[in-house]
Amino acid sequence: MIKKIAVVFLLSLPAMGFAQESIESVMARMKPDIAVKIAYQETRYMGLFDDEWHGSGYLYAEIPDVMLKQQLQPEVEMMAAQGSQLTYSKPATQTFHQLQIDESNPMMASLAAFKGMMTGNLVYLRQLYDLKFASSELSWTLEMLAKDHEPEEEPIKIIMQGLSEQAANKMSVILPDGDRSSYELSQPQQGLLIKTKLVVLLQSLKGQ
Amino acid sequence: MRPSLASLFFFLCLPLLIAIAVFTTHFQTNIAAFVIAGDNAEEILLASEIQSGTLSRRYILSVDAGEGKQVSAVFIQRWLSQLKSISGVVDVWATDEKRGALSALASLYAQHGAQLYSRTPEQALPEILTESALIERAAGLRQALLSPQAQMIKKIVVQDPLLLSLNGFKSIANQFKTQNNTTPQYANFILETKMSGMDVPEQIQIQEQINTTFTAQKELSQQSYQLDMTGIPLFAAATQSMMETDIKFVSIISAVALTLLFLFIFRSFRVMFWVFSLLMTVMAVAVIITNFIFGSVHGMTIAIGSTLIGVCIDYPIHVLVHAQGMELEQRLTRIKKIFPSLLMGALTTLIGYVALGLSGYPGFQQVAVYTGTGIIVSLLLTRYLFPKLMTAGAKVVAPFRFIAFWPVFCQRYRWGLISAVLVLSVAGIVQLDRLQWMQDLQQLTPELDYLKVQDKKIRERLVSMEPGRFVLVSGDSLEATLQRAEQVYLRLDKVKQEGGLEDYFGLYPWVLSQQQQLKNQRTLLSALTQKQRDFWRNALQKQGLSVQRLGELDYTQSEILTVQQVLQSPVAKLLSNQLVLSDQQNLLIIWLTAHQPEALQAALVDMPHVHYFSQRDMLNRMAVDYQQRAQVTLLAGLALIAFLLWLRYKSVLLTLQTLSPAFLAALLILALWAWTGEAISFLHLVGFLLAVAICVDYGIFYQENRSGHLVLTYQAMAASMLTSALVFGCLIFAQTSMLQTLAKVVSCGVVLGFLLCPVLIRPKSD
Repeated sequence: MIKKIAVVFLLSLPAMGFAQESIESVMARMKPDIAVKIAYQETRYMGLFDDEWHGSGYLYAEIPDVMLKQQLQPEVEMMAAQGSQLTYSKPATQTFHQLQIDESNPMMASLAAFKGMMTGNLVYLRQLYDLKFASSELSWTLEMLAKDHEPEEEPIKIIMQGLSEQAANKMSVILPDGDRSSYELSQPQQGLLIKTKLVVLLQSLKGQ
Repeated sequence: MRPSLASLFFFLCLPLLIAIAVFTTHFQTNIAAFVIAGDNAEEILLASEIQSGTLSRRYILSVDAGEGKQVSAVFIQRWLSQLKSISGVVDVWATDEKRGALSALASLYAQHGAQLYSRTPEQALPEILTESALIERAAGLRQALLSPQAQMIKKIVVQDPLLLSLNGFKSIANQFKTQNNTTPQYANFILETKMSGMDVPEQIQIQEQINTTFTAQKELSQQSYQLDMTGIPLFAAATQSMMETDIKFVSIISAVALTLLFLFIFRSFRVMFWVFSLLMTVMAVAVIITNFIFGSVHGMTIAIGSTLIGVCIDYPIHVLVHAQGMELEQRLTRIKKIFPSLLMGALTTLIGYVALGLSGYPGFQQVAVYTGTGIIVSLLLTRYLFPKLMTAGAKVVAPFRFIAFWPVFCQRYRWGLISAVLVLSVAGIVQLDRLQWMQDLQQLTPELDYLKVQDKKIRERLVSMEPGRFVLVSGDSLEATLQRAEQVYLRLDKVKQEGGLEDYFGLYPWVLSQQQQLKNQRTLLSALTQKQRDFWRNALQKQGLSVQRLGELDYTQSEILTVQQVLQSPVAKLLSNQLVLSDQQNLLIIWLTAHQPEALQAALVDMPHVHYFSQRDMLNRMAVDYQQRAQVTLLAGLALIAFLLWLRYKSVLLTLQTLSPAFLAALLILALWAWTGEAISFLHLVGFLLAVAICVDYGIFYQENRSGHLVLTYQAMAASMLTSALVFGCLIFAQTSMLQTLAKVVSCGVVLGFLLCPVLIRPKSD
């Protein structure tokens, strides 16, 4: 009997080893060699809207600290974070802003979180959020609570999720007033072509 | 010979007197307070605000990254946090920072949408409440809720569904854009300190720390940025440093020069010691009395008043020349004999300084008290104490050759010399037409030009506001002031439309008068009928927005937004330099960008308590005003001196003869200015008056010759003249150009007056 238990234990060791995700391993997996592009589907649940709002587009990231969100549906919109500077453009309303990233702004908070995750920058994430990582055999979850928030409000909560040994495939941003945004992430691509595309998009954004 | 009891007592009290003067006196260095006086309550309040209010406590810091480069955000963040930790610094913010204003929109303005949406509700509401406008508004709201500004919009919209509170801010959105459309090469900040800008020692420390932290941060980040600073504290510090240097330098130079002169004339350290002790007493008492009357003593008073030495030293000099080497009884008799001349001389000099004090220039009132006290104290000490300080053992110094020669020469060739002087005088009178008056008071301080240039350079990097020109609205209550300002905005809008004004920055949309706020709300509520409410709900529905949460248009909340609430919010720092509040009066400043002054003046001319204010024009108006006052003061002073002399001599001829050296010296100086084309200001006239007052003394001494020994009398006058010329002449080394002007005028004047006495006056015989 004891022998059987020992054999089962020994055989399960590799499996246990493989099931042991850590935040470091997840971040290492997220970190691109050159640049990465991920497709996303966004759903926003807002108390001031009757129905959910849906959008989609692509997220680009390049180490060490460049991130670009290209929304294609329902309207074209671009937001890029490079270092601590944010650039935003919406051609339909002829809007263009260039400002410092303010992590207490929910939209910027999610972008900052994406930037941190997609560039595998754990140090940056730890500066902005209190991190709580949990994993199981099949999946992992990283919960981030914003450190910077209004005293009378709850902090913004960002939850990133993914399958074991894989990059994040879901993100939720929960705001203090109860509104939230959910992102379904898919089709990650990497390489020089992605980097070139990112450079072109950044140039077109800054050229406005 | 044993020193007398009186002299012992005097020398014991002297250190005490000096200690009292030094430790109980409050010294001031604000040059504006010395020179600038407002003609009306508004200008005085404004001047006071500039000197000690919010405006005086701020610096503008401008970081230059170099052409084509941008100042790093990390550098800015780190440096700002270091600046905020400097003791005495209240806050530092970027000139284009809107974060505070944006948070105030949600926390403060959202609930007052019904009161602040417009200055002209009758025109605004029809454009807001039509069906198409409401549909567009709902579409805009949806976009805003999906934008990066969603969080701020959500906070506002639940209180103000129509976003009326943002309506007024549309008009300044473009202003913000223009303001912030500066090149990224520069990063500009405002730093506010706790203490007044005139609190120079503290401000100098802060300036040093600003530079130190900047240099340290620059080295740490390996950047080659350059820091430029401007602000009232910088000007105040530069002025004080200049004045302190001047006072120290001039005092040392004149003390050394006087010492050497004294030794040259009297060849005795003891004599020098007596006289200087007397002068120290005179100055200590003058400082104490001036501080007692005014509560402080200005640095310029000390600087100009130090020339008092050159005047007060005359009395003991005359006593020394006439009575040294005599026994006490003889001394007292001789002094008693010459004292009436000294008294008359002191009176005429006093008239000159008192006339100065009555001229109205704030600083010169102090100078008048300071010097008047000094003259009286010096005269009394000379009459009653100085004889007891002197000893019989003093040397009798033979008169210099020139002193013996010149009066004799003038007597021999009197008519020839008089003719020459007359020719020169006529030529001088002819030149007077060419006299040029200084038109711009700013030319009084050319030594501060480098700061003015830097100030202009920095402001050009910021906004297009003209800092020295604005519209000033006043009122005894805040409500009245705000109501008047609202009328002014209408006039300014019209001038804008006509092209006479590019833009202006008033207090709207940050605050409106109570009257306007109530009117806005009343008008809105009466225009918001059921029909409009239905339009709104339909528009919300079409945009997929919640009718339940955004459909109720309840704008009945009754509290209006007060100025006090605004000044306690983050918006305060944007507005604090536009409001000057006091118990008696309130001022509101409307900043202007490029404009035509005539157009603005014409638009505002019939509005009471509203002025187009130009700092440069005010200063130039003051220059003309001071010039006229100085002319009147000079003439009145001369007339009074002439009257006094006539009362004494009971003869017009004698009076004119006594005055002639002073008058002709004055005329020749004026002619010289006219010929050289030097632009003269009220300061030249002030120096002129002093020179005349001193020269009249020479005329009196020479005319009366009370000792009966003309050479001795002239010797005493020579010593007086040399000390006056030397002491005033030392001011030429001052950095402050105002003091240099006095140096030139008075030194030349007293020398000329001295030389002309033997030419023009036939004295009482030896």
